[in-house]
Amino acid sequence: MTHRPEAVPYLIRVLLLLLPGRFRQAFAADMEAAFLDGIAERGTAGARVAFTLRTALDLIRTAFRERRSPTVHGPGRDPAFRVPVADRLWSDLRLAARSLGKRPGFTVVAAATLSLGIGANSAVFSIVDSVLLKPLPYVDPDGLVMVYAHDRESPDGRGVMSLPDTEDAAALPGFETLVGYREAELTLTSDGEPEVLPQGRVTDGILATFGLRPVLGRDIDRADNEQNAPRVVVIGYRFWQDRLGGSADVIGSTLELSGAKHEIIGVAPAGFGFPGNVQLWTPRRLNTQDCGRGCHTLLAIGRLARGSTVESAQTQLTGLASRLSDAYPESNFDKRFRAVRLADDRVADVRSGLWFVFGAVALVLLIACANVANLLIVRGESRRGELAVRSALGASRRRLAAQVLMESLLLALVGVAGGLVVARLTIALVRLVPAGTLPGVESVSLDGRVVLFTLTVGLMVAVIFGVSPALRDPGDTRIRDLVSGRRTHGTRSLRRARSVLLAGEVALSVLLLAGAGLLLKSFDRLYRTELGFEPDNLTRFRLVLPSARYDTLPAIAAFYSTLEERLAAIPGVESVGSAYGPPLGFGHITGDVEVEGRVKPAPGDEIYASMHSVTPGHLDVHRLPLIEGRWIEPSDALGTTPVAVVSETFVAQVFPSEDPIGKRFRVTANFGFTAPVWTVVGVTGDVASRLRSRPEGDVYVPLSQFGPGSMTITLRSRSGVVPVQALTEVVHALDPALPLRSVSTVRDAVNEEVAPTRFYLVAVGSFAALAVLLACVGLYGVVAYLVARRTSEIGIRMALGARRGQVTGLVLSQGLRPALLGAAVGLGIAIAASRVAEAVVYQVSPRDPVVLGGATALILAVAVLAAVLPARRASRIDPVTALRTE
Amino acid sequence: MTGNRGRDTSGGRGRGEAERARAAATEPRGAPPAPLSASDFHVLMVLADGASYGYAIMKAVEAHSGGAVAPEIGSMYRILSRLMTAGWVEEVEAPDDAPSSTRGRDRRYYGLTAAGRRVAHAEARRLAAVVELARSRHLLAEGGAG
Repeated sequence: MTHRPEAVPYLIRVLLLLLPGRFRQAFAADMEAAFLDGIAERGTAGARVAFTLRTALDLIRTAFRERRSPTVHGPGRDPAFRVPVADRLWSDLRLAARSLGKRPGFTVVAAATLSLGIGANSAVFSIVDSVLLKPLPYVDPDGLVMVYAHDRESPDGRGVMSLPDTEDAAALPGFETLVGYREAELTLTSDGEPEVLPQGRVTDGILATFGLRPVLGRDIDRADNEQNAPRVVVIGYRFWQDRLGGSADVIGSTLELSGAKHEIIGVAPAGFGFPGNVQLWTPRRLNTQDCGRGCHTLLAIGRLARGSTVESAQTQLTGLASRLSDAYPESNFDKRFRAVRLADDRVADVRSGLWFVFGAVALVLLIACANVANLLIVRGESRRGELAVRSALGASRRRLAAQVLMESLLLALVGVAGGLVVARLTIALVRLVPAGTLPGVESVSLDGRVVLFTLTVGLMVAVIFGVSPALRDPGDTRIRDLVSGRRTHGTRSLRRARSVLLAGEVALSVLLLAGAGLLLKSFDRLYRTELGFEPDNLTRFRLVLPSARYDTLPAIAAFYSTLEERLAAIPGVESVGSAYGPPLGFGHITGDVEVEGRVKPAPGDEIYASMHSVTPGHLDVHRLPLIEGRWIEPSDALGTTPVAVVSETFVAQVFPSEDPIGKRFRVTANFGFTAPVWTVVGVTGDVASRLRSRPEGDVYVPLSQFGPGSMTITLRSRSGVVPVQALTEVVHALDPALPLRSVSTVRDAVNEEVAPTRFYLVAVGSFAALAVLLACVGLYGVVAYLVARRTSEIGIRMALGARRGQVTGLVLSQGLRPALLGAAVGLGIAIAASRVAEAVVYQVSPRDPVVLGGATALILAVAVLAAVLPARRASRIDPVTALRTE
Repeated sequence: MTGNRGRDTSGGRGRGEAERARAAATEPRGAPPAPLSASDFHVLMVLADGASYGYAIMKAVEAHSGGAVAPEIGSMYRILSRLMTAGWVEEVEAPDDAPSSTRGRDRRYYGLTAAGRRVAHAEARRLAAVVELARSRHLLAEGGAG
């Protein structure tokens, strides 16, 4: 709960608007200043909230008083409404406050229920708003589309593009521009310590695509992407301001990036960063000789041409894909392209999950409303006497209705105020969600839109409650009620209304519990996914050896070999290994498998496999099982037979009925070195490259024979974590210009993968718990009330010979009938609406009988608990006492 | 907000003068028509020390009265408004040693007018007489302030 000192809360600003115009014009600004003075003086969040609430109440009072007897006279606008109306409103408000104050138990329970319901909704709305609803901060964001390759290697339809395909797509009339890009990293070595910065490697016209012009210089163009073009860079506005002092003559100066001088040719406008918050853009400089249509390395973002839509662009892309498939079956067979709006793409993974959570929290509000409605009905019955007296004394129906309405309104406003506090606390919790779980979650805040949403929800709630008793027309309360005093049982229709509300609460609780149960089971499945290796006690980091200094494979292999030796000498380190593309880690390169002696598979029938360059330590450090043959050894070097170890899935796909050892194959993946023909020497177990994806065929080859300069080094240590300091020292002793990237534990990577499911689980789980609690309170309240109302009847029954068990049974059955009905309805809806949950579950059927049955059983058990207490009380009623009160 | 403020300030000042003229016409001596309310009197007493701004006046009133009079912001400005309408308080230039506002909002300073000072004086004398009376009836210990 941090108050930004310069911000006056909306609550205060809105309340200042209640003041009469002249008074407001004279003093409102100064009052805000005084409020900020007061806030600044209060150290704790609690004190600030208390001060805000005190000021808020005082402002309401001041508004009424000032309207009744203005202290500011003279020319100017008239007060906004006539004093008599204000007067009556004020007196209604006071009456309502007094009436609520007279029954603190009811008021506290109702207000707390509403606060929880409204607050939870506001918090979830704030997330939905910042993640899904607010437009992206770009010019005309609706015109921005991503284009993906959709083929067998990327069944999710989000595959990367090749440069020639991107260029062909860019030429389609549906696109104004289409830029290929890739997020990468580079090392800034211009001054002092080397620093790793994210960069965008782009084809041409990245700024133009976003509808921007450089503030200085020019955008990257096609000529910059030529192989022998001079090295250039476009810098971001923030980079320009923060690091280069925003000087106007940066254009033409140079930056040393990853060991090479780059000329600054342009400065992007303020606020622009893409992808992510990238502030450096360099040309992609691909050449189509080495990396043609089969070489998928680019993401593509474009702007739709004027008058073009995503659908029309998609139609053109589909046509292009089929033309390319015919012309280049080698690389483009069955490869389709998919256009998707950037805004949709960004949230594609979380959209359905978030709406699921939003739906869950809306159910909680419904339950809260049902609970409060129940309380109000009970209360309305018990005040029939009071209203009858007031009616008899001459209060008009309208006046009585206004009073009842005012009470609901006040209750709802208290609920809104409490809800804002609940939302604020919840948002503070949400901010703890690890970045990357939800895009844009860091910008979630309790802003004006959320407050507006909360007020709207509160008003809706007030109207629902306020209108229903008011419609019952309190003025119609007849003298009979006056005479009969308080011992009315409530009409049959009201009893039915309460039962229906109760059944509804139970049904909604079943839905929420079922949702929470499905998520819990998914989470459990996900967390216990067979990883294929032991993820604990592993620390890892990445290095990228600059190709300028490490230009041959032996140099790269020698570097990692020495590095591993020295890292292994760190106290506590048990084993060290390096890999390109470690499990759940950075780097994923796939290619088609071509087995020696077999006919090249027809387009569409290729088997693809994932390539990993590894050092001999990789097996040990991850504790991978060796199933057959041998693992990669230090003696496998450049010049000896190229060897490969393959995974079980690879064997199943490529050699289903043969002994793989000794077989020779090629993979079309390319690290820039010519890929040799591999001889299989061993088979290992499968490893989950991503938790949610199916295992794919893995090929491990020795780094000394084939591999990139970028590797992830993994250490297994007894203590679990190796200090970064120790790692840095070792690396820098070998090469002081090498920064360590993404130092983390493998457990972190696992947790990151389960983070979204964990988030949904925690959210829906807490809502379900809240729902059960509310339903429990509601059920208890209704049954207890029932018992209290029927004390004398029960007394008579017992005097006539009813046994305790019978009385308990009577009360229980009355309380449990609606619960049973509700549970059945809830179960039915849960089964019927199971498709809604499909988006968030993992390897669990949305109709999982254990989960659905468990949820129903749990809510029924809770219902029995809630009803048993008052039922037992009923059975202990002493008939004599009960009858005497008659 | 800021745009409004500039207008408000000048408008407020002009009106203050007009009101003062009117107040002076109806009550030439600036004497209070009836005993002042505790909060009005406390505000006048605080401002008798020198000009001050909204929140500081609130705090000083609370401190002077030992917490017995502790107006919140809305009530505080209603008191100030009433006293300004009566011509006893006016908006004044901020003193040179005023603490600088850290949030870019200038606080407005309020000070006593001559009439205000006379009213406070008269009220103090009236209260002193009441205290004297109470003391003579042995309702107060000798020298005790109550």
